[in-house]
Amino acid sequence: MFLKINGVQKSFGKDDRREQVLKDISIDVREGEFVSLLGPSGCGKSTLLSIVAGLNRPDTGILQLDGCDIVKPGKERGMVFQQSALFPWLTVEENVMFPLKGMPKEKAREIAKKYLRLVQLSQYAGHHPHELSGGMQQRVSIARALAMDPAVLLMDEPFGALDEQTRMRLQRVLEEIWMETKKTIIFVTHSIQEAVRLSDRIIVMGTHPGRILKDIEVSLGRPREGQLKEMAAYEESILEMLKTENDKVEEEERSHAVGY
Amino acid sequence: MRLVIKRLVFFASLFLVWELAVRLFQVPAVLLPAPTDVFRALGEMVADGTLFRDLGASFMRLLVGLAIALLIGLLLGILLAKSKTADETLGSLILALQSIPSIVWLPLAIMWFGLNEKSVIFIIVLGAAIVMTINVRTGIQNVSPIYVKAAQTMGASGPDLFFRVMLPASVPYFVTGTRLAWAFGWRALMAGELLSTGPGLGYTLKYASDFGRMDMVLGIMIVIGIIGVTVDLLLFQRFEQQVRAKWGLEPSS
Repeated sequence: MFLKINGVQKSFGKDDRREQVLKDISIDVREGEFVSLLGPSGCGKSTLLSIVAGLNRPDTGILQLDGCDIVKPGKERGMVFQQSALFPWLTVEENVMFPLKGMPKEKAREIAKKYLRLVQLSQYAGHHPHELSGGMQQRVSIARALAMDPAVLLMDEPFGALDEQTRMRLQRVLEEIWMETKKTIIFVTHSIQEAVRLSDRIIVMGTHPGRILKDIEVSLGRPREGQLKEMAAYEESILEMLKTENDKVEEEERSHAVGY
Repeated sequence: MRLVIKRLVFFASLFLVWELAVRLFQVPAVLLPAPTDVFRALGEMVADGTLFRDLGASFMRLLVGLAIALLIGLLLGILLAKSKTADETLGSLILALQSIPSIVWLPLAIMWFGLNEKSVIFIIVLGAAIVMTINVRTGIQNVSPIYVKAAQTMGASGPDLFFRVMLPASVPYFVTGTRLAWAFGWRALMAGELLSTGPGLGYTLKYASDFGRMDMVLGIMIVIGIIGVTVDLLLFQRFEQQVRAKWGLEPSS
């Protein structure tokens, strides 16, 4: 398997106040697949992503990318964060060139240009991040992560802080980029609509402790834009499933309360 | 534009009231000279070149002192930010030293370096290096974790991470540190010159005072004030705002 997540557990806090945020997480991701981690806040989806990025270590479990263990951050796993993590002291182009250190300047600039073109921001190469809108900043972040040609692109609610219109536009841009580059993408979101709009597969997660509820294949053609009815059907079934899950949790809580 | 007019009117009336009061109550010139006398004294100092010679000498000292102070501040600040032990020990000493006005070191400085330039420069360095140190330390410690994480996912670590991300990310703090270092240095310079030797603005001020030339004293005080405000407001604060806006710390205007 290309990206293998096996039996990952993670707890935060100390001793008696220890809380488990991830329980028995196992996911296999094929090369070129677009996988979404979907769940409410507190389900540990962002923690899981930062573990894959190598920014966090799991308590137990195995993580492998292309047969190699993941122990620390590396260039083969590019990451896009929810807030723009662009460096304000660098221009847009210099930001995209940041991961290309060690390469001849001219070649790095060439690559930066290519990816800025991909996110349709070539004419902003000389600008500084504070001169761009939130949506443009996120597109630069995507270009920067792609510039180092990672095997996997990790995206932590990248469009979460954007307005609805920008968000929909960036979803279209991202789908195009994915179809063009054939990158493996792991995409964290709490929006069912966004997950269905973009993914081949949706891993639905639940809270307390963070765990996998369901692994859903989305077998719709690309591009997805316009397939409103089909997408709505998927959204409906996921909502339905989450509802039964919620009912179950509530039922459990109630019986627990009676037990006391 | 309205602001400029308001200020012009304010200062013009201030000088007018001052002039009238001195003449009306016949205040002796050793207590408070009239503004016309003060400006005449300033004119004399410009004409015979003492003002520029003093300014040159004072600025030379200040620049040397500031350069040394900024270098020391930068290195010490980095040390305190990077080493917890250094921060807990040396850091507390530096915080304690901050509450001692640097001018009170002058008696010791004169014993160490003699009654000369070096003593004054020492006072400037001491006053300026401490604020720079504290700002550099705070800046590096407050680098947004998101920059560090992002850089790590792009393969940066160790010195590479420090020089390409942590240091540039703290530049706004370095600018603030430099501005405060200038302000502390400027005050220390004047105090130092007043109590030690010349040439320099502070020394000439004391010289004028010894001869009862209060018109010269006030003239020099005005020069000191104008230079302080000009450099701080027009140079440093403007630059500081630009940097902060670019670093995304303030909405750019």
